[in-house]
Amino acid sequence: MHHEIGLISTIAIGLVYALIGGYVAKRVGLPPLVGYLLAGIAVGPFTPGFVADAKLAPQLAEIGVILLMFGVGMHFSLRDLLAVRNVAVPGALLQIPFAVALTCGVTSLWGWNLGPSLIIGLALSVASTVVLLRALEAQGILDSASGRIAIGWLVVEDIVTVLILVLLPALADSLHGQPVSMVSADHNPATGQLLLPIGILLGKFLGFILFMLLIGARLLRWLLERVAATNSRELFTLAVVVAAIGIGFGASEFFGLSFALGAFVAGLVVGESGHHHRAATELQPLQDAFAALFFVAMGMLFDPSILVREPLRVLAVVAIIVLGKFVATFLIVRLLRQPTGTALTIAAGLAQIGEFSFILADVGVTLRLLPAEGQSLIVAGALISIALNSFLLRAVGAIQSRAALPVLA
Amino acid sequence: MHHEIGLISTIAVGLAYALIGGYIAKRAGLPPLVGYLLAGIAVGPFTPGFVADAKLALQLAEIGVILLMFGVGMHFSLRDLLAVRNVAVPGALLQIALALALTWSVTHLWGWNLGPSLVLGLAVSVASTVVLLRALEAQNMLESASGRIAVGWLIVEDLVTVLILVLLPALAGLLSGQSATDHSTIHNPSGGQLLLTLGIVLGKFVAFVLFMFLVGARLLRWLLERVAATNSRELFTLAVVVAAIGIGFGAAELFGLSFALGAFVAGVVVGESDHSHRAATELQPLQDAFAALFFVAMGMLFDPAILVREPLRVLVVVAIIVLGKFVATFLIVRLLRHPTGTALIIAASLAQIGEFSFILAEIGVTLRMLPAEGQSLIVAGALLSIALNSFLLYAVKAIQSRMASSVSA
Repeated sequence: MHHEIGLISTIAIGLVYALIGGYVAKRVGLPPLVGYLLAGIAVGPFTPGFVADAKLAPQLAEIGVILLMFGVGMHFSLRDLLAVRNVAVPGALLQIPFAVALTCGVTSLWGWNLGPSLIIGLALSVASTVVLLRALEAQGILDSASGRIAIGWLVVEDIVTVLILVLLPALADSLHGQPVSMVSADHNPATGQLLLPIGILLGKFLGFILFMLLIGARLLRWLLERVAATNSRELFTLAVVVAAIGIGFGASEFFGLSFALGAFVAGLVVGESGHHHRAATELQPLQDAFAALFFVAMGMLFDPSILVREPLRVLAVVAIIVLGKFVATFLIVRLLRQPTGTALTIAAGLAQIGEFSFILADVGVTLRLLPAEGQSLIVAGALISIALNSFLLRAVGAIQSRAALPVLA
Repeated sequence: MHHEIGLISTIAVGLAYALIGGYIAKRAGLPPLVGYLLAGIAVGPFTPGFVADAKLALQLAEIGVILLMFGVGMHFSLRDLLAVRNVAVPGALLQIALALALTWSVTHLWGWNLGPSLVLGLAVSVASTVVLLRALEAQNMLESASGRIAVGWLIVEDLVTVLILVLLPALAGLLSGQSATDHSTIHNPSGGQLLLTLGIVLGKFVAFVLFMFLVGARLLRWLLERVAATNSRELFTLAVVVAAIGIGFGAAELFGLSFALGAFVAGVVVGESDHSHRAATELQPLQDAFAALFFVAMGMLFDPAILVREPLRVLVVVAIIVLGKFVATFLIVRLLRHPTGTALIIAASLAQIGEFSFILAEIGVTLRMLPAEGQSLIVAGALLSIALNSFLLYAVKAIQSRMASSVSA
């Protein structure tokens, strides 16, 4: 009766598996997204049984990213960030190069080039907003000083990632085939050629931001105002979804930027408007459903045989994320003269990777900057670090209360 | 950077047009779905400008139908229907028969066969739940006696349609070649085959309903109970979406029934559980977004040229829906001894067609039981009758209050 049901079956089965995985994960005290990733592995091409449509799944994932980024943008508030900028900005900017350098040190032992090493380093340096927010919520420390610093820190990481995502296509050509030891990119003959696309891209990026903040913000606010005035919940929901997906799509069509960035900026603008609370409520169910599909699609990319084939590399990646980043973040926060308790909480909260790393891995593979093995390593690292993260946070909480370590009130 | 963006562009552009159309319609005092239909015409293949992916649009529409039917199922309450059964059941059955006969006599003049006449007649006889509920809400009559009768009446129409939807594929083989004058279906040589097919379909239908009420209901209630106990809003949303899309998909895959029917029964089961209110809230934004895409996809099927090519036929279809059904319903309600005011309101609110007619038209075309012209006639009839409906209800209310004041004077 219905000829084309690929989309429906992919959504239906993807969500059924996600529900089962999420429920089981939640019951054993892990965040549901670990279950979604496992569900993705189950419907992926590397395991027996049903295999979801690999062409549609990434597109559903992309919608998930758009809605997630829109949500992050709505949570983002310049005022919150400014209040913690003395710790968050230098902290995040110090921590990212540290994690990238650590990763490059390890990957140079594996004989990787600069391109893949940079991508995996960046992927390992940025933590997951979803995991962090859910974890802080679960511990009841979302509104504490440590929580606010961790969120501000993550916002800086997010912005850096977004910038890198924008620049990556332009960087791709010059990074192809370069050995990791050749760090002096400035003296490279291709630098001039590279600068032009970077300039064009940054120009487009600035053009988009200016357009959004000067015209887009007013237009969006006017639109939401007018739609809200009709008293139609239905139209308001549509307006919010259109703001997220439509602006994400527009950013990629007209400015050549990523869907994610467009949606993030749209979220920022809506977040500053008077309707941001209602918009967040209306968007939540859609965001939940498509975010689940995003994690399922990412799980589909994971080849479990890497755990057998390259157990040491998986272990090294997990060690960089959980130990390396924890120690680095702790030291940086202490260096910035914050109490030990605060430093422990922030370090534990950020010792994981998630959706941003997947986006980076996805873009890296598309640009042929990252081998498929790198993507599998990142997915494995995310799965394991997210699973370990709740235990880490709990352990830190226990240490803190036992030692009565000083924390910011 | 991203190769396959057909799905995202179809959703983004479809929703953006829907928002514009819905907003303009709402401002003009029409229900937003008129705007969605117009948006669909704009992105459809018959008008210049952007043309959406028709294959994906239909699948998105199917998800919209699943979510709409699930929502209708949740609103459906056996107790409400039983309270008004003395009017609603005979009324709806009589009215469908009258509308069928009226259509039949007209299409007979056009030289149509039995199959197309039957599908068109059914499509014209069933009103839109969405339009009715929104219209009654706007007039504050949802909780009135007339409102309850109208809703009960519509539920009977819905059930009849659902049954017909199930039986249509089986009837298709028989009706496709038969002329409108040949009424003796039972004495047809293929009558035995038809009865067998009917029996099998009805058997599957009964098996599915039994399965759902005996096993499925308990399973679903247990599932929602368990998921709600985890206190994860995210998982609860997933569970509700899975209940709608998953069971719709399961009904189609395992029982050979329609997605719509599976979702409807799932909705009835969830509606009877304690979590129905929360489930409805969580599902609403998803339902709004995909229902809009459904109406857009239906609008895409409309060829505006029919207004020029066959203006008389369009006029006749609109006359059957708005005048024919209004008079028939009014007389039936009076016949069942209800006051004139009640009869006027019920007749006015049911003098439109909507989503069920589109589903019937779509399935009719898929089964080659309805020519493309019939589908265009149905879409044209729906557009015009929905647009006229709000004015009709206003007029009826004005008459009613004048009558009331002349009685009291």
